[in-house]
Amino acid sequence: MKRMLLVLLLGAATAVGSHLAWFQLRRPCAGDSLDCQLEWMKTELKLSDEQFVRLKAIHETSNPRLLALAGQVARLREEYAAFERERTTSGEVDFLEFARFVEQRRSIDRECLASTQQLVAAAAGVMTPEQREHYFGLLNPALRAENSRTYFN
Amino acid sequence: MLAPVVPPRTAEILFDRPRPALPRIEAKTIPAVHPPSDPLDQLLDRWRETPEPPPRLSQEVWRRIAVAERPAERPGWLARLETAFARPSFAVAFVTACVLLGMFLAEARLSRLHAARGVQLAQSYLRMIDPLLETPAVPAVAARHP
Repeated sequence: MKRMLLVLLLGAATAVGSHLAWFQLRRPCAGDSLDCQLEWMKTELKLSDEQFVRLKAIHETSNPRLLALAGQVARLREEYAAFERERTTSGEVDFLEFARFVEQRRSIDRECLASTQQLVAAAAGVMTPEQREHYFGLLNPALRAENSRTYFN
Repeated sequence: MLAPVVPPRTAEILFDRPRPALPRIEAKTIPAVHPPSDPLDQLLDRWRETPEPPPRLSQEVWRRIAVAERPAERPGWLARLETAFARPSFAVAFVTACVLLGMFLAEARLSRLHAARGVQLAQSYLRMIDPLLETPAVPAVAARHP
């Protein structure tokens, strides 16, 4: 009886140990950093080491510019909110200022679009046709989720 | 060789059979042996009636013999389990199975985690590469790269 209990305990301990060890070993990267995203892409798209290095370089090159553009977009959104607040409270709109804002926003939008297209095209250029297809397939569900959140929330 | 020294009368009464013939020994060679008087002898002298054996004695004897010779009953599941765990090969196989079960459950858990994390990372990746994503005009980006 004692021996049986010992074996049962040993079995339970090894089961828990192997479970935790395997989970830690294969656990996905935590956080939303660029490294995590690239690791995820490497796993999902089955990128070779060479492809991964090139893809990482492409993303790291364009990342500072994209972050700067994201900052400008956020600033323009705040400006737009300020315009809207002024319009609803005082009932007046500075059309010259608003025209300047619209022009600035169009310019930023064009820059964002061009940067994104450039990055996606460069990343897709590193991939094989199958990987490319999978890459766009991975982006579609996220796009749909983002769209539904933007329109309905 | 000397015969066992048993009071003759007691032996006859107890075993209800004639005393085995002792080898004839010359009286000159062996001195006469006088066994000490046993108080039981006097009592047995007075008891002359042999009791009747209980009814069905023979059947009861055979029944007991059959019970004694019957093979041992199958042990319960706990005893069988103990016997199995006492074998080193079974113990090693059990522990190995536990390790594999733990890894299988971890893999199942990881599979679910990877699926959820994949969507999350895809969204954050998309937000990273496209600063305009939260505006309605931008989703056209992916459509331009089919």
